[in-house]
Amino acid sequence: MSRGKLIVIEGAPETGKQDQAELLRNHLRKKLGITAMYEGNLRGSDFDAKSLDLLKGVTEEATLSKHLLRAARLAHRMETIVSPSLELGENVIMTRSWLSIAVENPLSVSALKRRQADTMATYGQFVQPDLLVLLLAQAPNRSALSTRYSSTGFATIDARYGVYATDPNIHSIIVDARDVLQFKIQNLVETTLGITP
Amino acid sequence: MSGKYIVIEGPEGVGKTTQLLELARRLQAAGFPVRTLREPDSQSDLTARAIRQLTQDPRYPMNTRTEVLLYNAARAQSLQVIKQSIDQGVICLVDRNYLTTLAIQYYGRGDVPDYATINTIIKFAVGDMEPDLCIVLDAPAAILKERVAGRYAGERFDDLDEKFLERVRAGYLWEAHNRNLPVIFATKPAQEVTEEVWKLVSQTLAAREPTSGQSLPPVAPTHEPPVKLSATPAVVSSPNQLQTLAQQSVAQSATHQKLAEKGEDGRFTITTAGKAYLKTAVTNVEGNVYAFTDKLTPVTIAAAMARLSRRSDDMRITILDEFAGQAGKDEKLLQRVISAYGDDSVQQLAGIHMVVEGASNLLTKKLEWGRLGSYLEQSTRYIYFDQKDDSGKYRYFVPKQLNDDVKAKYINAMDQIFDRYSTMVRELTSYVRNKSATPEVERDVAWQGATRAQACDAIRPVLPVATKSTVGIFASGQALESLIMHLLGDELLEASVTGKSILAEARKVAPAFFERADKPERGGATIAYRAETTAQVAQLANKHLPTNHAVDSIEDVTLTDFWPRNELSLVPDMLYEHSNLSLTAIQAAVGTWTYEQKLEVFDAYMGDRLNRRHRPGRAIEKAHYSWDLVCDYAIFRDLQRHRMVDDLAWQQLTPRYGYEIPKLVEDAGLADTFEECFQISLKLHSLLQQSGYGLEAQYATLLGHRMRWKITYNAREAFHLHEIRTSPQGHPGYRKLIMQMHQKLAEAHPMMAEAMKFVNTGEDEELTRLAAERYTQFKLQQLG
Repeated sequence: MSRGKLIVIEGAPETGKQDQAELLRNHLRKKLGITAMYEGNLRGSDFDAKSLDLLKGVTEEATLSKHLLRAARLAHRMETIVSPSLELGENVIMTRSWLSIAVENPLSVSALKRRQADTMATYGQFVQPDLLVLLLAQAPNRSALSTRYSSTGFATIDARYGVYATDPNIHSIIVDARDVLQFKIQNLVETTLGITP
Repeated sequence: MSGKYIVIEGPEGVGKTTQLLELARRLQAAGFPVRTLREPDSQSDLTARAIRQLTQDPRYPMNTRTEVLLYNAARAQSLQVIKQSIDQGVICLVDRNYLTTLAIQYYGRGDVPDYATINTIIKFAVGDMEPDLCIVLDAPAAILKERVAGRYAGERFDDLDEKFLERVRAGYLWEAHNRNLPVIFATKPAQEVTEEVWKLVSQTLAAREPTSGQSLPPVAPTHEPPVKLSATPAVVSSPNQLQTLAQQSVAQSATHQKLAEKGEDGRFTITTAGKAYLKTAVTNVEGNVYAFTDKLTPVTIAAAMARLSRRSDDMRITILDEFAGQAGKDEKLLQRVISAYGDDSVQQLAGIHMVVEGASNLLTKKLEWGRLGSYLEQSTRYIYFDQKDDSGKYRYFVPKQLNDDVKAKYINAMDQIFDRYSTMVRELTSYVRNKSATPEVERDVAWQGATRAQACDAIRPVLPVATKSTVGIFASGQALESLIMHLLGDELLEASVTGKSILAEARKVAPAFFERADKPERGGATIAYRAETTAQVAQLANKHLPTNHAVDSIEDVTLTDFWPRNELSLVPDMLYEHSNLSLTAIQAAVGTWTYEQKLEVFDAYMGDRLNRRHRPGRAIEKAHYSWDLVCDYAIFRDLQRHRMVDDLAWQQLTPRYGYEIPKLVEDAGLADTFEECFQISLKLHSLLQQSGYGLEAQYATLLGHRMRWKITYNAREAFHLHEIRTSPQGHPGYRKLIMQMHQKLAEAHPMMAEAMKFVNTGEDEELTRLAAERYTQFKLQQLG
């Protein structure tokens, strides 16, 4: 049995990651008959729930601890859910990977701190994605997309994700209409999985 | 005034809490504001406590990565609490810090290989909150296990075994060594440990606040520290100690006035008694150059030399002033310099002769591994190995770890091989002598030696690697210490047991040189480091390298790499010392020269060599040759002894590369018996492997079994190695191999090869050996 592929869809909140993850999962399973699971749908272990509670209780000032706790939670999910599924040949879709943790870290302003923060996050991830798709909003769309954040707040987060867009291992896609976005992601994923159109 | 951040680290059960509480008591009594904390779950930070509780709750099993991240999350929080206290002038005494994460999660668990990443995570959590002092307490794993037994019943740590604790302990020691942290061996009575801790803390307080009235604890410790003048740098921790030190100093100077007197200008003059003493100790009392007689021990001479860098006097005055008649002073000085200041170069100042009897031929190569030693071992070329010892046993090594059944079969197989060896070596000696073309009148001692060597050479391939030998070693204290640590860390039981024996014997001669060899923070940490890296690389090799058991075609000699591509590239280096230009400028100039001009310099540098000891200069050391070789173990044994080589490594011994039957053995009609030995060896090797003795199976291979090894050496060493190892008295096996190597070298660097004009290509074994034996006899006769 060959190892499954890890597909990550990343981006600022409300860029449509979860929606696209569900669409992709259904596309792979129902249309192509390929095993695929969306990691976000699975409840983690007791530890996962407990660490989430703990994270909620950490004060905003404790930025270092928060970041490390997030990385720890990711490490645990990777070890208990993602890695075993991949080993069993299942393709796994994630929407919150090391990139979310790295970007959401408030310390990531200086290059050094950002590199350190990235190290923590990738240590938690430890299985490299076979495909990492980054959804980015263009400047005019930012305010339209965001409902939860102020336009400035959303723009800041979106811009932080944008820093990683130049990474050759990350495929960035500008957020577009739902079905156009779905088509673009499917193309990337099918190439990654070696499926000829 | 800012406070201090003092950490006591060490494995569970080593006594950290006891020491922290006593330290807190003393500091409080001295009037310091003190706070005791435990890292990473600083009691006053709820987040840190909650995280730590999560990590220790058996209901939430987690992997090591998660643990590392969680502990550091808690650490980041608790360090904030410590920082606040320090800012308020409080001395924070902290139980553990990040060393615990490295020792337990990295070294102990050993399932996450990312050492650098774990350190980055720690750095991320710790920031600039490094302790002012971090003391590591250490104790053997067995003692730790006993102390923690029952402490963690029902918790996640209740299944810790002794091996885990040993890895954790080694981790602490290795990190302490790398970070230059003080280590205190905590198996001593708690009071003694407390005194050592107290000394270090008082030093830290004094160093950090030189003008403060609180720089030294103004309170007498509960237990008066013992005065140790010699073992460690003097740390004065009480007025009584200071007085004692002063008294001892006066007493010492009074004793020395008899041999050397100090004038008012501070200069020493040697008294008549001093001169008389020196006459017996050195070869020249007045001159600038002198050697030592055997009046002074090598340790005393080394100690006196160790003082050279700190004292401007003539060294003979130093000897009179500090060492003459001062029994034990040399040892104390060396002990202080080596143990306290870690001056390894002092260990190079005295040599030690050591002999290892009964070493298997597997061990002999491990004993002769170091570059900086001189070695001799019993020759399988000149000694018959058919003699039995007092208990009627042949001279072969039997690994103690074999079970009874395997051991019996091992002994039986070895006896069969030795029986055959004994028969063959005598028969072949007679055969060689009977067939000798040397006239009767010329059959002298040299002829007997030459014919005997010819027979031994041909039959030695059937001697097992288990054959015992005696190895003589001459090495400096430093080289011997290195050898000891290598042996102690070797996975072969015979090697580690011998390492302990060498250490015990060396300590009887020069204890100061070997005090650190098995100290946890020195030898222990080094051994742990070597064992860990070896195991990890072996694991990766198994994981990533293909296994190839097919041995259809094996090149005996492969020149895997050489440098430079063009040997004339060395010309600028040859000119360097005769120019005032930079090397780059010389290279640029030579680059414009004609081929003939470069050749002229090359030839001049090689010169007109009259014998093989006339070796060209060191510029040719820049040229390197790397080889991958397959030859029999006996040949390897001879060549491995060359010291001026790099990158020497050999693979595990196995019968898979086969063997060769010498023509002489076939001619004498002994081929069948010869082959039987290899069949017995093969069966025994398989048995040992199947019985789980993979490492010990090497003892069953024979010296004639071929094996694979690699070596790199420079062109200057090639002059030495190629010329001496093709000389007539050399074994035909290695002569043949070196000739092949020389041919390959000549293809790469023809001019260099041509300059090695004493490479011998003579083929007549008997005549060349006889000539060599005759020359030896001639030299002996000259000596009378």
